[in-house]
Amino acid sequence: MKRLLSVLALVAIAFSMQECSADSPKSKPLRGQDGQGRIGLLKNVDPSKIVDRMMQEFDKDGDQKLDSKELTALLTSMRERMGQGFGAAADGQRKLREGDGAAQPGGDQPKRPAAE
Amino acid sequence: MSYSRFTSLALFVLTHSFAFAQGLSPDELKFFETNIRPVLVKECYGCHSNDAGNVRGGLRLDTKELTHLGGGSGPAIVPGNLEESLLYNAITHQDFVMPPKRKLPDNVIDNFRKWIEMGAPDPRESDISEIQSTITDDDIETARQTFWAYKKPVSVEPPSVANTDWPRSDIDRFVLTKLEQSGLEPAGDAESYKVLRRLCFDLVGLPPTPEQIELFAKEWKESPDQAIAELVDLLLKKEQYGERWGRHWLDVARYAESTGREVNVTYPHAWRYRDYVIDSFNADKPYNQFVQEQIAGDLMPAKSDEEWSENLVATTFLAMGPKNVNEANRVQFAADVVDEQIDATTRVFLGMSVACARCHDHKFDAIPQTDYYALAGVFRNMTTYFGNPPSEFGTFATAQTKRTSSLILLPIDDPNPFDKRYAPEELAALKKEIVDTQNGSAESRRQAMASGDQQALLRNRLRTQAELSQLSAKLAVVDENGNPRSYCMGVQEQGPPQNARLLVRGEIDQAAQTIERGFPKVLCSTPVNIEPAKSGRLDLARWIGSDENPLTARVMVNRVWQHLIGQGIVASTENFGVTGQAPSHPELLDYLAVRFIDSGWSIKSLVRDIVTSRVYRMKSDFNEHNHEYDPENAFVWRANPRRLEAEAIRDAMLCVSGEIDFERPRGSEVAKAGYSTVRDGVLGDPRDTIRRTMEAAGQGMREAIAQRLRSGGRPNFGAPGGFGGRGTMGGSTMASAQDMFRKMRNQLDMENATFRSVYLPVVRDEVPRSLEVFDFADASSIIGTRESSSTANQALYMLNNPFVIGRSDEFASRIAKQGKRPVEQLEYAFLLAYGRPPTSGERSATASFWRGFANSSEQANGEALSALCQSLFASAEFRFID
Repeated sequence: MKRLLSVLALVAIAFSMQECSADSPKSKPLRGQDGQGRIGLLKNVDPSKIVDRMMQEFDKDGDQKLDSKELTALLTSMRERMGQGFGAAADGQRKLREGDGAAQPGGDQPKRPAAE
Repeated sequence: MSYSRFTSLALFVLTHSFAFAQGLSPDELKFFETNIRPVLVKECYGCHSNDAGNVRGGLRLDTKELTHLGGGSGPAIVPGNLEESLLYNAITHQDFVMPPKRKLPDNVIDNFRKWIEMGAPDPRESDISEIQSTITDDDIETARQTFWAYKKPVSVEPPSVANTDWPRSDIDRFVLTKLEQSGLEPAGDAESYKVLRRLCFDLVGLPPTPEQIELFAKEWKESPDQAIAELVDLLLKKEQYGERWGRHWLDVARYAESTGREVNVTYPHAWRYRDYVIDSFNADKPYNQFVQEQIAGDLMPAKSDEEWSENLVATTFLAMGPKNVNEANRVQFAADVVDEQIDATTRVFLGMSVACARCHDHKFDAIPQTDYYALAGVFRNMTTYFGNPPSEFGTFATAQTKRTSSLILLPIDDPNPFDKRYAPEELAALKKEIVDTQNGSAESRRQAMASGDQQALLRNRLRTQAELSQLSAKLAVVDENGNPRSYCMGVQEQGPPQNARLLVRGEIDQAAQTIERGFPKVLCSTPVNIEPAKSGRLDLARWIGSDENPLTARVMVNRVWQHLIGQGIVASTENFGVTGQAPSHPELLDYLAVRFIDSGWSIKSLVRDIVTSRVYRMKSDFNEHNHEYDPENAFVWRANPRRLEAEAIRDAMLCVSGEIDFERPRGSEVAKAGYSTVRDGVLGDPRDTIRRTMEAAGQGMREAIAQRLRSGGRPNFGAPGGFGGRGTMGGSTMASAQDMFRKMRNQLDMENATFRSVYLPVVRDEVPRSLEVFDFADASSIIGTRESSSTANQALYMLNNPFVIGRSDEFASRIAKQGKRPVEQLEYAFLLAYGRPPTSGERSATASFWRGFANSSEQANGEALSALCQSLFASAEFRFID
């Protein structure tokens, strides 16, 4: 059963990573409102690192498997931390990069022209 | 086996000799061939190469140039710069993840690091080294010395004429001498009411008032010259002058409030440029200053923040061109924006097209491709602001808006900012709505994924993107207290300036030699020297607006002449090149240009000079002898009858009906709608609008509409019976639904607006009906000369459009108040519409019309009067100035 749940957890993670792509600089994620995890976190991080970190955090009994309690805690935590659910960047949220104009929320202060 | 060895050896020799030719050392080549190329081929080419037929994200990695150019995200490799090299970013799984499902071994990643740090030596260069122009320096010098437009205008003495009684000014002498040389007679003076009508429409775009008609007729009898001079002074002081002449400028400046093209996204702050132009004309701002502000206002020294703000708004000129925001490739988009800016700058201010040299040397003018890329170097070193700033949540792009930008904050405290002010609870609600929408979207996406419904997943994603984009755009333009900020579009300089590389056939992946920044050589009598630390844009602005420039004054003078006389001295107003038309009166053109510069580049002085000439007040009568010799009236032997522009027709109807509101509306309808897409004449997504409208509508209507949708009906705004044909929805429900959709469709037509037409929303490809039908300038093009067509559509518009019918009713009410007797009403109607009393023939025709239409009832009489007024609007005399 534990093995099945672990597999399910990994499938869920894999699902969230379906839209991984390197061709969209615009999809660079923003920090969540609470300043904790990143929105669309799973999109940009090495999957093996995610699994390692999650196992470290949620595998309470240290058996390298997630039981139903641990899995529930994992999924609940993911939802809370990401706020936006899996793959939020699919909503087109992005941070502007230099060269696209300013990345400053609310607009760009103009540069004062040099005196004559 | 021996063949295989031989082939390998040959390939090795060939590759190495090619590499040496490119300056790669054997070690560098070996490193690339053993450590980099195999990885690229195995891991990357499948999705990012031409051979694989797959160019995801617009990124190709199969040539050196394309690898450096990168895709939609930016350059994949920047030699020596790991931070900027997105390929390294991706393989180290920082912001991007490549390959998508696993990480490359550490030693491979390390090899890429070394390779980039050693300057990314790459033998896969195309064989483009340097493109030689077919236009030599000698060709350019010859053109500069011989072609009239490339030579500086010279002061010309007005010629002497045989008929010394006719001329009133030097302009008349230039025109008359041509006529005398050709044996042509100038037409006589037009009647006073016609001259008055010309002056009023030409200067302020409105018909004369009854008071003006009376006064002018009286003064004309005493002295026509004096009457004209006094009226001109009066009209030039009116605010409506700037609205009229500002609109002429907006035509050439391709003013619009949206991007146009595939995905039409609004420019909610473009109206500031419109107001800037109108105010500049009213203030008679020196034209050279006006030009310089639009090209480099952000770089011009300013004495105050107000002046700085005005200069920033002026640079909207460079930002408001049409844009393909759906372009996947960032580099391509940037190149297209620069191209549009070069095209606008050269054609609007210099009357010559340089943009065709993007792909090849100019076929006719002495403009080599290098001149284009010299200008591209000037323009590429700036950021163009045309979108909407990001909110604290970032920017939410819709599925089709791949390219956007922020906006410039105005450096002044705007006492009356345009955008909505939010109360603290409203602001909190807006933020909550964004978070809720994101959460709701995630939830429905999870459900759709669970059910495997891919279509629902896609629908959910598209809808959410659009909603979040709109919500974030609203939040972005207010501060943390909910107070709106003031913005403008425009440009700002970027970091250290860089020269542009010439692109073979204009292809972004075919870069050749680097070109020093500069201006078109054929127009520069002395070489241009741009400081390395400066982009050269300010120098360009000053060069274009200088007294020495051979074209700037001529081009503007020619435009003003065309607007007042009906055709330019150079008929091709935006093409002063070899393929353009030669000037009909070259000496007059130079005379006016020099006089224009000497007057301090005063447009009002120029206008005054022309309209007080004898040429301006000629009749338009036909003369067989003259016509035989000069059928095009190139020598100006008579006045050119002209159809009024769309704005003047609409304004005239409002003016005659007594409804016109001269107050300038703040902002525009587009500004009210904010940053959104425009489809089917509706600001924002029509489907969202329908959904919101249905939510707001009553239950009965919702059911009726839903029933119609279930039966396969398709919304068709405004079309008779469009949304729910007759019979589907009965009675008042259907009428309400139709009324609702008519109002939605009317959003951009603004049939109920009574302000001047220059303030109507100008959305590319969605121009208000009242303007579109009378050949409004295509806002995606630089239009110096509008079309003047006469079509059945115009007649139908005059017959059926609610705006025309409404104005006719008001016109009828106005004249009904003037007098009870039909004769009095008729006199007044003709005076208002045509500036003259009716002729005897018109009186009898009207009486006959009256008898056939009216009867004893008051209602029928009212309708008859309205119909008469409508027929006056629809007549040729109302739409033309003679």
